[in-house]
Amino acid sequence: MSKKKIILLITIPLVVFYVSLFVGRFMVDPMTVLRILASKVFPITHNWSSTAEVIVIQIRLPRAILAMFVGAGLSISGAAYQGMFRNPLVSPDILGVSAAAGFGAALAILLSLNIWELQLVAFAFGVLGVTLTYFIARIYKTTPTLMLVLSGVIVAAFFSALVSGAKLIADPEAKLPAITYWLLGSFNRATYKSLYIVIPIIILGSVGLMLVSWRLNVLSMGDDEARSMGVKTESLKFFIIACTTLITASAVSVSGIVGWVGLVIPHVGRMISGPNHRWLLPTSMALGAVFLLVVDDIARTATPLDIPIGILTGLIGAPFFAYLLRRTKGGWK
Amino acid sequence: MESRIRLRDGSFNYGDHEIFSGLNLEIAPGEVVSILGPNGCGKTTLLRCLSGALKLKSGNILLNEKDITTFDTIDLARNIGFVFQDHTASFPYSVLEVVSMGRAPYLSRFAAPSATDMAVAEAALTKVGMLHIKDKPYTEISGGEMQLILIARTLAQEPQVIMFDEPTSHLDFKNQALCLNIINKLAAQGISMIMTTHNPNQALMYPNTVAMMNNGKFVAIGKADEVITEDTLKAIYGIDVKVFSVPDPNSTGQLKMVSPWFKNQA
Repeated sequence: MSKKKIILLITIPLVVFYVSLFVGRFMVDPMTVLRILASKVFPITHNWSSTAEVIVIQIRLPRAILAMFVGAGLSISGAAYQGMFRNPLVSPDILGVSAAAGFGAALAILLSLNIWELQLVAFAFGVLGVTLTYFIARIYKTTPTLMLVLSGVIVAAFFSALVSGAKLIADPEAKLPAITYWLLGSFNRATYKSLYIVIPIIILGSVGLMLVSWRLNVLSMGDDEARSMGVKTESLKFFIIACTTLITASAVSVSGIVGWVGLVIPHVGRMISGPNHRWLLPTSMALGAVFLLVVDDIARTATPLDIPIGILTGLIGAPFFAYLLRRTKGGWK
Repeated sequence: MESRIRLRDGSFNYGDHEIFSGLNLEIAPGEVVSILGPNGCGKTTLLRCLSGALKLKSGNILLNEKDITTFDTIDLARNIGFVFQDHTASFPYSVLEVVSMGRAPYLSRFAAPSATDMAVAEAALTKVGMLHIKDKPYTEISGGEMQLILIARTLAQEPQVIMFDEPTSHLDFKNQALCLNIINKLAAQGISMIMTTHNPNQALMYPNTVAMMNNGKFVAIGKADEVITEDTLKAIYGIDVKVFSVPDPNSTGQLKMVSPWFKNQA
């Protein structure tokens, strides 16, 4: 990776982050945003409206931080899974984490739990779903890739059926829309309280994946070959699954199901950094953070309605993936 | 006699299905051993056992006179390299990146190759004569180059033994010859080589040891030109074979070659 690319991958997210704080239906001028932010650290005279401060500090800042971390987390997870499964069509929810977390959230809504409890239940179900997948796939102390994929399909199908069941019995006036809206994904539930939990978990998982990023290259040669090169494939796979599950389950628990990011961003990353996971993982994180933040800015500014982010990532991600597919002629170069 | 690998009374079975039994084999440092036999005779399973990837059901394998089951994954990888028959490329890593993966057994869990490791990888590429393509994506090289790259990757492991599962099965005539030539050159530097093969002529090209295998038993073991005969070939393949002698261009001796032969065909 060239120095220029590295600098761009660091500065672009910061610029987009800053821009996200002042654009919106309520425009705050860029200098005021800086002063509001600075006033949290330095004593500065307040010459701005309290509305501006609430919008920047209480609404836009946590939302932008969450969007970036979820984008970064889903993208590094997707890149790690694509390497581990040696397949560029894999997304972070291949082992059923989203479907299971979705059911957890639906269940919490049915039980009228508060938003905080909902996030905990969704997270717990996400982890439970992947745990089930892992043990269904485990035969003779190994977890062959194909077994993992098939088990993931089974677990996801099972929890999707449960979500449908939950929708069926949900009160159509209040709870059904809440479940539907949650499943479509949104960052408008971002609060500092949830950020304090979610962000450390996403950082923890990402650091874990970065630590084994070179081993991921070896693992992508296939289990047998990696083992012949001295890699303990089972413990490495377990570690990768644990890291990505922590990341995706916490992302899904606060933002709902945000599709396509973890599938598409690693491809763009590979075009920029090449396939070596040492560079691909951080590149994907930066790209994912920028992508999801930009899409969320569109979601909250394009119409008076706060468009669910899952709809937009699908509307943008699917055609973009089609474009990549055509451009690379299926070769994933 | 010093031996690198010693197989004693080895047997293996999948459930009730016996793959091989009662096999004995010794491989000296720098020796090349070809395991020759028909499809399904158990040679690949035997190779996997010798590499430590599969455990014998009975008998034992000694690597440098130490039981192979006492080696962990990392120790095995430092001693034994394995070139698989089918490598499906995943992502377009550069040739050098692929070869440097062979350094994995010397790197801690969270580390990446250092400059020294990259130098070892480049030296390995030099040994197989492929240094000039080190920056190419390994998904865009020919089958012959791929095989040499994978051999370089095992060389980066600095092993004492390299095992090949049918190393020439995907290669054209020229690349088969080049690949075998490299294998024999490396053996001359002291690395023991064990390969499975379908082609008796390949075993005859070099002064190798041949273990002829059928139905999970060795039919004959010894110097290639001594054990590969019309009788032993008929015994393992069940067809008539003719052995020819041609003058060896490199010496005053004779080279042996074999060809299948069908009676009364015009």
